[in-house]
Amino acid sequence: MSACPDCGAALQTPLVCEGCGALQSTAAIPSPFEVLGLVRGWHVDSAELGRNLLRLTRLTHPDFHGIHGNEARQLAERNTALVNSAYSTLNDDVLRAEWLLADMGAPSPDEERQMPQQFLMEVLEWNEVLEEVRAETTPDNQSRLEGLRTDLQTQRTASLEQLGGRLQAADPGDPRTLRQELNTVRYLDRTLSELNELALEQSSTRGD
Amino acid sequence: MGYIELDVLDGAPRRIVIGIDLGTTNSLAALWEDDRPVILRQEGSSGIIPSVINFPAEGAPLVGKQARAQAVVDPQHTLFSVKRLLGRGLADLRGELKDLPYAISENANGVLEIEVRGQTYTPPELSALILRATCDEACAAFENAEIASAVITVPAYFDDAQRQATRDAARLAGIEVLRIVNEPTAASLAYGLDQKGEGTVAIYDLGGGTFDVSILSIEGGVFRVLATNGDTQLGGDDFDRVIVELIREDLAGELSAEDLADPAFLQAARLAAEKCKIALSSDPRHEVHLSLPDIGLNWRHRVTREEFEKRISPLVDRTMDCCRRALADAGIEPSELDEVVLVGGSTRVPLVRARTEEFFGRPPHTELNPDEVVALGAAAQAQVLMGGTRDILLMDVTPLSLGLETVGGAVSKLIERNSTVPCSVTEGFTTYVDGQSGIDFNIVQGEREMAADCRSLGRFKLTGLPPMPAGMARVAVCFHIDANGLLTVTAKEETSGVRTEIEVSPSHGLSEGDMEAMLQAGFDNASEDFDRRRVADLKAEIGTMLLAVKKNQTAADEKLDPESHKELADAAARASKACDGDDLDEIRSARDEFEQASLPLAAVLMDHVVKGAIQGKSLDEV
Repeated sequence: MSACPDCGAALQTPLVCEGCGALQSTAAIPSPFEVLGLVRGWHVDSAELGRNLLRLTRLTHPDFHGIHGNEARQLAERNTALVNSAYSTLNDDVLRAEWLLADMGAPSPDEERQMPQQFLMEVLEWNEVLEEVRAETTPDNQSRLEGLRTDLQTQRTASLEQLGGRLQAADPGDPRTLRQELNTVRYLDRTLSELNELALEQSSTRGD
Repeated sequence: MGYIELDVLDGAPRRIVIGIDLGTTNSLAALWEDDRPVILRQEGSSGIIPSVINFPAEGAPLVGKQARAQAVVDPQHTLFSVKRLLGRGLADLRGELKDLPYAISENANGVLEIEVRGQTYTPPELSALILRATCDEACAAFENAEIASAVITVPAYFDDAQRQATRDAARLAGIEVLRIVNEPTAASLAYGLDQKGEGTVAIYDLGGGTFDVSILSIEGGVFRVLATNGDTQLGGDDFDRVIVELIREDLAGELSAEDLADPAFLQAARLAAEKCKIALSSDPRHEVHLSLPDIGLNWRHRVTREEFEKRISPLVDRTMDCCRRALADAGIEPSELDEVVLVGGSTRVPLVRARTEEFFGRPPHTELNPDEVVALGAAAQAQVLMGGTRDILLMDVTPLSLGLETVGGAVSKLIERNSTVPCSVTEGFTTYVDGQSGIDFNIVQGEREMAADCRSLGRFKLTGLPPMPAGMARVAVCFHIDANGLLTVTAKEETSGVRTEIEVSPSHGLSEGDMEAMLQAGFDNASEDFDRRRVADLKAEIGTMLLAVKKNQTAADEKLDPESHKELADAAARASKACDGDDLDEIRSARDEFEQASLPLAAVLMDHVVKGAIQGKSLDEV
């Protein structure tokens, strides 16, 4: 851990000294875990993450540095953007998994597009239901839509837990397998957001 | 008569930092004082400046109440709701054009131009006039003050072009912008400070021309926006337009198409509609009366609240769709909200109150003055930015996703909507052709998949790449959305370390050149204004000197030598004559001569004063 050049206190984050409040400029982009002062890994305590975000933002936000001149304001803009980006990466299960996968050199979604075999059969079934629900808004289809949403949610939680378990382990195993599992979660997210859009559309057209 | 006037040496004017709510219908300024924000108003005034401009045949444009009073008598030269034009192009205005009683076009930069009395004005220039008037009102609330800088609010759903246009307006008005703050966020700040409210809050802000809804978490002085949604072309103006449409339908048989499109008719119908809307907030029915003797019109028509509500219902539905989306993005159910706060004059409409109550499942909070709460919040934020307090922290978001147009016209998203600002993303680009020296890209804002359906912020051009084989250049382009919600783009070629130039041509914005020209014109006008004020000051000074001479005429007659006496009389006559004209140089030299000629009298009187003082007489007796 390096020390603050201004007051000598040990830096908990590379962006700002929590002792004297001096903004630090870094040449390299620090990892989101470093930025928010957390241990690298899948498991993140969301309460701690939230607390750290607020504590750091209170120090780095441009609102508090504007009066110290343009240079300070720009550094505050940059460092707060890094804090925000680190927070959104760590606060989102998929983005956090993406970061960990990229960090261990796993293939990108473009390099490995496959999903695990056993999952594909279920996808076909879901798509069938989705097509039918989309075609016609009936009370029966409404409840099928809700049912589909619950199924997908359950599957997402299960897939994510499995992936998270591997990522937290000392040896996460084959990076390609991890990528395929993460692809499953991303697929489910896309479908779920389509379902949400559909539900919003149906509830907003009700009144017309 | 500098010798005998006992001037109190005044300090420099007090430099104040204010918050300005630059509204579609009204504008207002507030200041932080004694630990709370207060509206800046003169004795007996609400402080509210109607956002209306009138261009009289001669002289400076009128802004505010005076301008609004001209609406019916001088409709073609009276401009309303210019905020709806900021950062927009002709295509954005769609159906609104037919209701505007003035000529509007688009210049080569995609900036709107409004023609009044043979002169064209862009929306930032017009907004600058309103900002200036608002600042003048704010300064008038003090004896001796000038605006050092200001926090200016904008609708949360304003895109980059609309924010840039607002900042341009402030620059043209000579105001240093400390920060651009989102209106619902400012309102939440005022609400949180006033009510000490904590928890998850929805701010429903329906103003004259724009609608925003923001979901915030307020905790320990941190105001964190979780999601925002809105419509920058939906507000009370649209409610008015619904009534105008009703008037038009009813008069379609009676009036010709030309009369129905006549500016005088449109302006009168618009004002009658606004009056009707306001009346229907308290009365179940209202009689609209239109009297236009020029076209032989004297028309009365009763509008019921029921009829009005039926017609605005689809508009209110649109606001509810926005609320639904904001809640979905925040991941919050209506039942999880601790409070719903209504902001903006249009939330006085009973249907709006009823529908928000129904949607959120609780009576909304309406204790704060919906017209003032945004300006008050802006003043609180100004206090934070000036280093006055660190107890308050605003964490706002960018309302729209930011993306790049890819080959084939699709959008590749860089920054998701509702990302906390400031935020930045760096993307790598390369060249497709050997020796290619530049890369063009189109930056868009919006949620649609195709770039054509989103709003283009402009074409950005990277230039000055060193000659390299195709695919070898590595250009890192950083897109940064700052705390104002404004985008900046910087680029660097990484293999050679060359900092590439970025040329930005905004789709709907003033270029640097335009700004320079307008600022120069502003300075020219300012120097004219300055001359006028100088003339007025000199005349006042001469007036005081003439009075002083008259008061001491006996002393002059008795004690002055004949030569000095004549010189003084001549100089006084010349100065008095110069005051009949408006020539600055002439008045100035007459004043100087007069002052010179009055010196002997001053000396005589001084002598008297000293003697008087020794004899124990007061100054008044001299």
